[in-house]
Amino acid sequence: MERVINSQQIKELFSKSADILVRQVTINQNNISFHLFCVDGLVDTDMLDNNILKPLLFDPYIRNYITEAQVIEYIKNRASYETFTSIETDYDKLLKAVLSGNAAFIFDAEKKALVFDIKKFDKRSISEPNEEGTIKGAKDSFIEVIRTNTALIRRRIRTEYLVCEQMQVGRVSKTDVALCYISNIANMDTVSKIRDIINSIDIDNLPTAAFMEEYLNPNKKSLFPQVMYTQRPDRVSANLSDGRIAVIVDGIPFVFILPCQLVMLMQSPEDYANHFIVGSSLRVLRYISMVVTLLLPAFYIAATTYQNQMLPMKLALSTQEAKANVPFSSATEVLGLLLAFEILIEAGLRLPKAVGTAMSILGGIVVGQSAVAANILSPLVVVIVSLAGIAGFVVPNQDLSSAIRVIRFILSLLAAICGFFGLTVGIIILLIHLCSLDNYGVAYLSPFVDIDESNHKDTLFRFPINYFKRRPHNIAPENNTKQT
Amino acid sequence: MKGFKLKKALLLLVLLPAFMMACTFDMNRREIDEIDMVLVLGIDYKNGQYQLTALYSPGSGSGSEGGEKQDGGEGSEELASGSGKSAYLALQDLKERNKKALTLAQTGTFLIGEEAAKRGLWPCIDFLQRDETIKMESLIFITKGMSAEDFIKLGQENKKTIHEDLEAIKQKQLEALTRNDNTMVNILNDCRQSLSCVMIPYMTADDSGYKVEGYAVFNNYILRDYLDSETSDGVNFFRNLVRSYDIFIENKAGLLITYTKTKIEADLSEKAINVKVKLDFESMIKEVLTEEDIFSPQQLQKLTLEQNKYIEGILEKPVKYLIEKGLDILNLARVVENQNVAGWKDIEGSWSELLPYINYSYEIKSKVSKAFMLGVR
Repeated sequence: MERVINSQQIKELFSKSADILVRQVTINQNNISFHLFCVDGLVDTDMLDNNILKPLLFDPYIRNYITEAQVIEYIKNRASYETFTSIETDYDKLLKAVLSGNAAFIFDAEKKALVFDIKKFDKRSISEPNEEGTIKGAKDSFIEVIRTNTALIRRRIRTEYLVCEQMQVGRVSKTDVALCYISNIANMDTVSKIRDIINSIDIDNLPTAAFMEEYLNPNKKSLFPQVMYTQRPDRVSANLSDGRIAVIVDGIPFVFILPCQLVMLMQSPEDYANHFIVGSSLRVLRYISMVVTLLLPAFYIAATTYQNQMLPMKLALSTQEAKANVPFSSATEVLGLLLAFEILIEAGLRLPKAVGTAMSILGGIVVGQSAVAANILSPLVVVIVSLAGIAGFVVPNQDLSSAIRVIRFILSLLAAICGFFGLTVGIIILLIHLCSLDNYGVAYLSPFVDIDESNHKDTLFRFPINYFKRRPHNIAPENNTKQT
Repeated sequence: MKGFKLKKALLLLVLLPAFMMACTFDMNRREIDEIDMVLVLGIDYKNGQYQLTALYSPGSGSGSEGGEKQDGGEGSEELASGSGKSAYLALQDLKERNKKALTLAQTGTFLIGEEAAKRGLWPCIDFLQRDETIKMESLIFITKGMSAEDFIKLGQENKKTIHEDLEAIKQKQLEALTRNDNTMVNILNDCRQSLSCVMIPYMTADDSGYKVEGYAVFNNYILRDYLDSETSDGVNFFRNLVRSYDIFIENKAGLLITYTKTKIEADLSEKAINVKVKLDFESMIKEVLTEEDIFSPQQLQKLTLEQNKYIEGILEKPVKYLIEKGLDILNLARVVENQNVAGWKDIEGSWSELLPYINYSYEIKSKVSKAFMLGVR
């Protein structure tokens, strides 16, 4: 089949699709016909009727243009009230444009089409971020529409150096993907690496955020999240001005940020909205929580099964008393309860909110209490696992939290096999793994492992803003002066 | 290639836990409720054998064959004993007699009976320092005039929760002293300096409870003597251990020392050893027993001189003992050695003969501060 712009061919192509509109329109004044080609529901019909078709059909001057070529030029340059109008001669590009929500007038004799960018489809309005809420910070968040998201970023970064490169990914879905960076700050080698990765994606569809995340992940086997995602435009703009790169995918209300380091995943927008001492305290609390959630169950197993001298005498005695009538080993108790905890979380996600609350009460309180009363579990284990579970939710990044939950199991298992020796081996392996991770040329543990101490001012503690003189050198190597 | 990598990963997954299990084979995996934790261990020498008396908190349904359940307190302490030709064999005997495994991992206090102490410190604690589960901060006491077993049993008869009472004594010690020097690690460290005496606090027991009276003196690891309370206080001043100390000046005032700093300077000159004791302290008036205006500058100065004299008297007591008995209870050997490394080699061999001829001088500085809620007197 010849791939030229032709209304009959397009009609045949979409003959079974009820939402595709291919309709002949004739201009009375000069009797020239063209075909309107658009997708019902994706175009702004008010705009199409009032700003394009109506002025065209009642235009007294159009009678002076008697050939299709003249009419095309006239409409593009004078007759239409629509700003974003272009002439398309490529058949595939025309299909892509119309299927993306544009409207087109097909002129068969000229084998050309006039394309009007009048996309309008139902979308969610900009709302508060539900995962990264702050009291004092901005209240807007990204939505599923790529153009709205780029606009939210550009509203905050008004420099001419902000670049939003647009690409399409997905043989079938043809999903729009935007690569954003500030060209005079970002490391262009990293930009081209990420661009190459996006261009090399050869998949039919990108249905969820995780697909793009996996492609961008430089260490796919690692449990730790290598790509940071955020719902907040202010966070993206802050990272862009640090020299990082944002990837926006149409249909996903998140923006991915690269290169990603562990410290970024432990930061929260609230840290900067508060006084620096409060912000630092919250951050320290988060790190403590991370250690607690990761090590507490394993520590309990090791201390109660192998090295009880690690416990203070009174705690050892109360632990012994609490465990007196429980038939299971500490390891079985802890691992079993951790598993039950994960089941509760998973069930809570699937259930409607109203049922979820009831289930939390049933699972957390009734079953927990009954298990203790029936001597299936010792009360201390319930406290340990609950504390570890709750501390896990203090970690701001959900992916990191999930990774920690898996590692918690592994460490608990190692502690059950050989006590503190196993736990220590597990921690050493974990640290070696973390130290070996490289994220687009930047160490994952950076800036903890950096020699340059200027990078350390926004890590475990959040220094006052006037201390942030430089951008991280390994992220923005050439233009790293942040403030003077 | 992929299959090979997968096999390698699987092999690693199996081998790593196996390797770790092999490494920890001797780690004695035992659930906390399956062991009896010894809280207080008494070490005695009776009838030609070492005897260990363990006061332990039993896990559920435990108990030794000959275990006696304590009636007093919370009723959760049991007593068991074992004997053998050495303390270690006595411990093994004790473990064998007990239904459940016994552990010394939570033992907070070791009591050494007088007879055992007289036979030597080393046989009593050698087996302890080789047990990797022992807490280094466990305290060691000598039971004056009785065996450790009797000491513990007396507590039981008086319906005491013994380990809690001993814990309270530890806390009281820390109120008066800056640190407890009778921990396992400190005593083992003191034992390394063979020219000085090892000082371990001794306890007495009566119907009203337990009390730490002073120091037991070990020379060549054998119990030689018990110091009285004031001499022991003097030792504490020399060792820079005093956190708070009460002074009573007759018909004048009761004072509480709140800060002390002792510095000992040892100087060797032609085999004459001069020791200068510099003591700075601060005290607070806690009780006024005179009608005079004690807070006037003249009276305060007088009071300062009197308290200096009082403390000098306390310092002289251990010095007098040292000269009389020829026992280095002030750990002067280490001080002289550290401050005169070259000269020490010449006198090291004759240290015990030189000990009574050391010249002492004191430089005591103090300050009295007032303490009252209302501004009267």
